[in-house]
Amino acid sequence: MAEQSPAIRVRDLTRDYHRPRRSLLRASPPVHALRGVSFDVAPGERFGIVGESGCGKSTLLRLVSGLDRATSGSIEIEGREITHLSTRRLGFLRERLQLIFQDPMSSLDPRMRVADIIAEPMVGLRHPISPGRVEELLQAVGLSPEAATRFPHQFSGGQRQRISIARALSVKPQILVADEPVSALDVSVRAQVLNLIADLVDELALTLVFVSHDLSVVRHVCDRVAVMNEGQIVEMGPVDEVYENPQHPYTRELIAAVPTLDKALAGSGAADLAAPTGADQP
Amino acid sequence: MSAEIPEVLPTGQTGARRRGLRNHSLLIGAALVCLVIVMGLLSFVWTPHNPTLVNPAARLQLPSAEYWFGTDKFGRDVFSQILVGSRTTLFVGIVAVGVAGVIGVPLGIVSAMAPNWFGELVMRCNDLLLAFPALLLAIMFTAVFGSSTLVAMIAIGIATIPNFARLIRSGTLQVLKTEYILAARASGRGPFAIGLRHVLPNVSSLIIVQASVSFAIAVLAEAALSFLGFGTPPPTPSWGRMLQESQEMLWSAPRLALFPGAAIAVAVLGFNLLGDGLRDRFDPKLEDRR
Repeated sequence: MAEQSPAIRVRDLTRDYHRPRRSLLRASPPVHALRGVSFDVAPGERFGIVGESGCGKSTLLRLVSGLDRATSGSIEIEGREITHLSTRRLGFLRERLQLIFQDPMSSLDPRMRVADIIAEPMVGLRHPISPGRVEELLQAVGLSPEAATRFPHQFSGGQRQRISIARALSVKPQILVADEPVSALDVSVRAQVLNLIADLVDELALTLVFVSHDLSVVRHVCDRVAVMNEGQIVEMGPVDEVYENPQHPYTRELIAAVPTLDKALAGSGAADLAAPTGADQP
Repeated sequence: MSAEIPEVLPTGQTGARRRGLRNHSLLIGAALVCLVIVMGLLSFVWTPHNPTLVNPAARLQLPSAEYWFGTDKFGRDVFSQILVGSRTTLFVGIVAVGVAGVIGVPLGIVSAMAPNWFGELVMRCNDLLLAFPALLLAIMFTAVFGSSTLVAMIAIGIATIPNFARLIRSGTLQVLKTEYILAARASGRGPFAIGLRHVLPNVSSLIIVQASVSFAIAVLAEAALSFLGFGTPPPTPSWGRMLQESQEMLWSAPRLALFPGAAIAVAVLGFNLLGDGLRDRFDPKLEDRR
């Protein structure tokens, strides 16, 4: 693993947002969405990022996918630096890395047919579209070929997320980035979509970056996890290790917030688990 | 529990009634607009009399089987003039809305997608144009380029550009916030393709509504200009000029003002209702999730 160049390599990444000024004399202080984030994702690894909303997860994803510009720091995708590249030269990144979005209602253009939605990356990246490719993709995500001629509003949330997955896979990327892909779905559909993502990642030997605010979802899918809080990574390690032996108070809080039957029966709240105890100290 | 049920019902009923009302305005608007269009088309193949034929023997006739709406002071058939006048009205609306839409829509989309300073610049120019009365601009144009329907309507169209640009800009800004725009960018789509393939289809309902309302305003503006003598020159029949010619006989023959006035009212009401109906139809908050 060490000899290979990592699929994603992020170093000291920061991103500041400027708020509109409130005062005539002074500019508003910038918002630090990311403050010095560094991590590596090995090829074939399933990397999870967890944290509460507003901690910078989505900003990080946008930077890694070349949809936004970093304030400072570096991002390498398969050994190639992307932070200083112009949008036009990001073609290789789009070929290698595709995204699944959070909101199944807003991530599909309501005026486009499903076939056009799925084919969009192939059109945008000038791939030859072989006949039957769209049907093949629909089948791979468990939808019937008739779906191709329909519009997004005719599908349920889970089905829309499947369409989104098919679109991401259409250009055969090596890296799949999923931004809370199941948080907008019903609990009953969640497991199906998660399993689909996990199966496809296995089958196609993809590298997965999976962002969620829900620890149990990340535990289900990922090998390694980074915990983010206020624009920084506070803890990183193999999923089970982070789970069993959380080092950072914030991680403990997060884990405590996951509802389990035991906890509910014991009547212990988040505060009990978040408080440092002797057993948890290294 | 049972006491709550009556409280819930009326809101559901008003919702249904309101939707019904809106459908009516769409239906009535569409019917009136169709009436004007049919009149215009009909005038190409048939009019009861030659609308421009001066016949001193038949001056100021009352409505009769031969002259349905009577005749004016030159003995011209009013009904035929109304029929042919609807052509002018439609022509006027199409030119004005066409000019405003063809320039205003791309301007709105570009100003929303371009860097912030450019968008601001476009919007400030918009404000400048918006502060200028449309009729005054039209009168200025006819003073410079000569009095004709086309010139007047291009001027009205130019004065309507800001309405389109502002509306489409705000619509575009909303579309640009959605995740499917991010997905399109991640798919390697350039700004041109995003504007054409994603933004334009998703603001098309706004365009249709605005076009319909602008159409009504243009029809009214042409009538006003013709009334003032800056619009359609004689002998082409125009509802506005018919009104103007009737004013000296308003006491002796008020019907001469009544018929073109009613025609203008029908056309303007039709396009306004159609615009309102379409707006409610496309309003996502009212739309049933089908």
